[in-house]
Amino acid sequence: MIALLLLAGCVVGGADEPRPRDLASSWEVDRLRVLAIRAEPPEAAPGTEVALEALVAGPPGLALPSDRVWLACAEATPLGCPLDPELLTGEPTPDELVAAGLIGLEPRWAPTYTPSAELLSDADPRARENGVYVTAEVILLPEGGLEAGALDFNAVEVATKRIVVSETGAPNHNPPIRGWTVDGWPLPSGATALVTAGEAYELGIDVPEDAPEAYQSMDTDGLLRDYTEALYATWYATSGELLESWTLHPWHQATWIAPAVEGQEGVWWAVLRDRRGGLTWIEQPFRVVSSNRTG
Amino acid sequence: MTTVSSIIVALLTSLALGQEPVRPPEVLEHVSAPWPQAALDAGVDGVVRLLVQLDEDGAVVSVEVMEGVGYGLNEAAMEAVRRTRFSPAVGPEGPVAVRFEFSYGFTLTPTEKASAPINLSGQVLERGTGRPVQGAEVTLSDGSQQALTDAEGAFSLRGVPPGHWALSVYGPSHLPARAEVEVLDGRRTEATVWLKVDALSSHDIVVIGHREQQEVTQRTLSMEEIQSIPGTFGDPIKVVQTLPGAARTPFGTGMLVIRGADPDDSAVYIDGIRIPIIYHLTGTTSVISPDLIASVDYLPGGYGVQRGRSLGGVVEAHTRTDLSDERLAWGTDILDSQVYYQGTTKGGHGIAIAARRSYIDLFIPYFMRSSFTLRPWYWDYQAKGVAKLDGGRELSAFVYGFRDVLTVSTPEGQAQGPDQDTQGDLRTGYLSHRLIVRYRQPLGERLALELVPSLGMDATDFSMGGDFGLSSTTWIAQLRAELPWEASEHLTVVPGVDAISGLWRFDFRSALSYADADDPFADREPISFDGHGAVVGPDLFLRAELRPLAQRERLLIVPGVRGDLIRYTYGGTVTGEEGGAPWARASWDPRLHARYQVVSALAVKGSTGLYHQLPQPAESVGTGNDVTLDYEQAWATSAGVELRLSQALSMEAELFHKRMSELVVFNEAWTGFGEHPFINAGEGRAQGVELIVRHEPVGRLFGWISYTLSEARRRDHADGDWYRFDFDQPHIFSAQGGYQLPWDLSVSAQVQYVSGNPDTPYNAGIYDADGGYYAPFRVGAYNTSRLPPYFQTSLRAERRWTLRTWRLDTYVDLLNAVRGVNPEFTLYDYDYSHTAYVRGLPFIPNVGFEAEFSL
Repeated sequence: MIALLLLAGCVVGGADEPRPRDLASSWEVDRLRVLAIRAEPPEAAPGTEVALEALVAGPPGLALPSDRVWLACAEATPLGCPLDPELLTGEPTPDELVAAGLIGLEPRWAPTYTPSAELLSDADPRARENGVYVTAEVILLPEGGLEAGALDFNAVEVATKRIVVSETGAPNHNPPIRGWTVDGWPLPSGATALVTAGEAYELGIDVPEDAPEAYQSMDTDGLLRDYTEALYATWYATSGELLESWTLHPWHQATWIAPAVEGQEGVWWAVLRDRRGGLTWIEQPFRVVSSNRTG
Repeated sequence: MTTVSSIIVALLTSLALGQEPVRPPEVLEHVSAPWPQAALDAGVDGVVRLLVQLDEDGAVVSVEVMEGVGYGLNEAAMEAVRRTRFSPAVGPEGPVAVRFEFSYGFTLTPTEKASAPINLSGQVLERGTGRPVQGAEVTLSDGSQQALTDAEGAFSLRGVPPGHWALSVYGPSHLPARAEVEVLDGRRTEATVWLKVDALSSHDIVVIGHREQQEVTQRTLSMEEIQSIPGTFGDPIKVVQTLPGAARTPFGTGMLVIRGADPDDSAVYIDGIRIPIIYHLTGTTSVISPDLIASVDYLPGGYGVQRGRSLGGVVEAHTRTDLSDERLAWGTDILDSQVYYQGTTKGGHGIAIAARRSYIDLFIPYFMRSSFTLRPWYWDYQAKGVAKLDGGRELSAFVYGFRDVLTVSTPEGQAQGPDQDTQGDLRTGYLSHRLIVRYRQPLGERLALELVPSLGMDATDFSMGGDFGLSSTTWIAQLRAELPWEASEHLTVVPGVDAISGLWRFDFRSALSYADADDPFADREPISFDGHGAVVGPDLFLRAELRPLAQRERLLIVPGVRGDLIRYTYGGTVTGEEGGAPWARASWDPRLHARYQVVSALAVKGSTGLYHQLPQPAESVGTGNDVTLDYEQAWATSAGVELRLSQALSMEAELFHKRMSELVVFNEAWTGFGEHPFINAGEGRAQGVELIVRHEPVGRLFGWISYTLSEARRRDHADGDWYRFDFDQPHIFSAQGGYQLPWDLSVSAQVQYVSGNPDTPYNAGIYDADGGYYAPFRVGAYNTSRLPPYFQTSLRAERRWTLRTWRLDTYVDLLNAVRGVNPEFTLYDYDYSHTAYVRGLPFIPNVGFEAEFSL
């Protein structure tokens, strides 16, 4: 009977099925991704123009798509801003595109969004103070564009961001990052970090102590409550291994183990968010060497 | 008393020629030897073997004793032979001198024998337990005497002649034994013989569900079988999941999914009292020590009106009532260690105590790759007392309790997600205590009163760091009372009460609201609320047991009706402080089941009936409004056949159909506080066929093969589309068996093949740049996909070491010995573009032992 069981097990097998540990970690930039979208300012008054920028990343050697479609909408669905794909594949007029919510078409049209001056005219005091959200969306078009009716969700990278529109007297700002550190040493801007294969490093970002902003938010009873931002950083790398995906202010150091392949080049990214829509990022290239870790 | 003599021709030798004579000597005149008084006093008889030499004339020349008896019989025999007249032996050439063996026998009549004093006695004991063996057959080596052991294992033989003897001993369910004894002249010899239990016998088997069968489908297994099934950790309740009708549930959850019902819809009882949790949080071990469990009933459906408040199946464990054998057991494996004692007081009252503590939390960190550390730990205790009363009264008390804690901790200094307000260790805890008293009082010859009151508390706590916590406590009082009245030989009427009452409260606090947990822009306002309430449910039932045929056991018809009553009161900040109006509901459940024994090897059976179940506690509490939910209900019908193919082999097949309605589902129109998030709008159906072929533990083999073919569907409202139930498993195949090898070695194996659970795959993810994560979306309907099938094999080898007053069982249990995918859930990578399966059961080698001491 035991022999029968073993035989049955061999037939059923399953050793080739992917295991959870085979799945990529979120810090690992092994495919085309949008890591962040920055709005400047992150919290705007009605009628104020907001500039948008996406941090698009990919593994070394991957050509990043330059064709990016930007949309904005007040009511987003789980799939983002509603959009007829034929608008992207056909030849619509600029007015049709704007009416459909288009706010940018990179590389020719830099994305900006200006909330209507009347956006909050009918809002209650709490919404005026705390703000309402408008969703901005970026779509990275695959090479060759989209074919109408054949939308492959995994072939198109889509990212959304909420723009806060309020009438507050103290609007939010994007948090600052002053630079990179490696094992506590600051890296000069524009330099490439040389790292020793297989060694562990303490990556860090230099964030001012007073970076978290104090702000007020109106509660459901109409009372203004005092808060302080709770910043956190998200870490990414093209290779090696990051042991922490997130760090909470004021501890912004993540352990990274360099890849074992000498000569390999890559990039680190850190995205700092303030949990109110404000964010900043910083990136740092690195190259793996056999010795002499240098900043 | 008689004497007999005979010539053994085969030993006859001619002294003159050295060859056999043509004609041996013959006794011409027998001489009876006088019985020595010493032999008569001792009641000794026997055969004296002599070597006799005759001359050519047939005269006795010499007599020697070859093998004697004693008590003067040797001398008496020699003297008698000397006076005996023989004919001469004749050779080819005429008379010759010869030497030959001559036996002289002394025989007492049974009456004379019975008056003889006992001179060989002793006791037969069982190895491993030291218990006396009653009914063992003790035989003297010449076959002249036999004795049966009494309740103390004692035996005695009278008038055994002095000398070296062998005793052959055969126990009722033991391996034969042989003991050598030396019986001395005029002295009494004592002997102790140890017998080893024959592992193949059914002597030590506790039958599960051995009570008179009053249910249509009541499956029974022996403890011996249960403890030999690999992968169950010897847990009798765990074995239920290998029987037809029970779906496979994820390893470690301990859920019971029976005949297409939700896990919460099946009930577990201990000694007639329903309990909320039967497994520790590891899902591998029940909260009651297996040593204390005497039997387990598994009722997948069609059960009687004495059980209610559930739409699914029933599992009922009964604790031991016979605690007369004093013993101490200690068991250890990779999960935990436990100790068990049972015995009786001087007054004859039985007591049993058991305790267990886990230590799996010490080992898990060494096997986990993740930086998160999973630490489950638990303890449990049980105590039982059985009073010795007269007049047919029975009184027992059982108390048990357990504590479970599961902690998921993060390494120091590492963020557990990006949210400052959701940092810290995850901790889930459960604490429970119960007291169950059972009293039975005969009220005449045909009437009896059975009372089972119970009191207990359950407490849960869940926390994440210091900012999020949920705790609840429930005090529960239950009463089960039955008044069985045997109206006639063919009718028994059983009115009864199954009452429950309880007080509950819970407290909740969070640094942010649940709805905002995934919102990176969530308001940072902490929230907290609490709730409390009381519930009373005095359900009544009336059951009749009709046995209309002259052969009572051939036909059983059981109609019954149950009245479900419930009344809630509730309050607290969750309801708006004041609480709503008391909530009360009533329903009634008519049920009927019948069983007909067509011939001794064939029975047919069927059942139909209505079942009601209360909404789950979390569904019942209104959020700022009155409770509006009603009972869920199911109409269940089954029909089946039982066939005994041989003494060991039996088969059972059953068709079932269940229609569920008024199921509690989430209210899609719910808008928030002030409305109830659940409504009674769901419907369900489950149907299938169950088959089991079983080889009972007869001979060296035992095992069973079970197969369930079924489908289970749900829809959330009457106009909605049917979709697969979350545990819809069309094919459930399970085969398990054991084989007894020589040298007290046994091996067993289990194979399970189960259809994968339904699944609803995500199509992709959209990146939320504010939160830094991908939000998944799906475009397909719910549960349209299915996980790959589940295949699991487990092996077990066990060796028993039996010493005189204790025994040691050692075992190796190889869970999931043959690697399969065993998918439990689909896991996605961060952007939902790639998948892998969370594998339910890794390869686990479990090594353990259990020592049992007889005191």
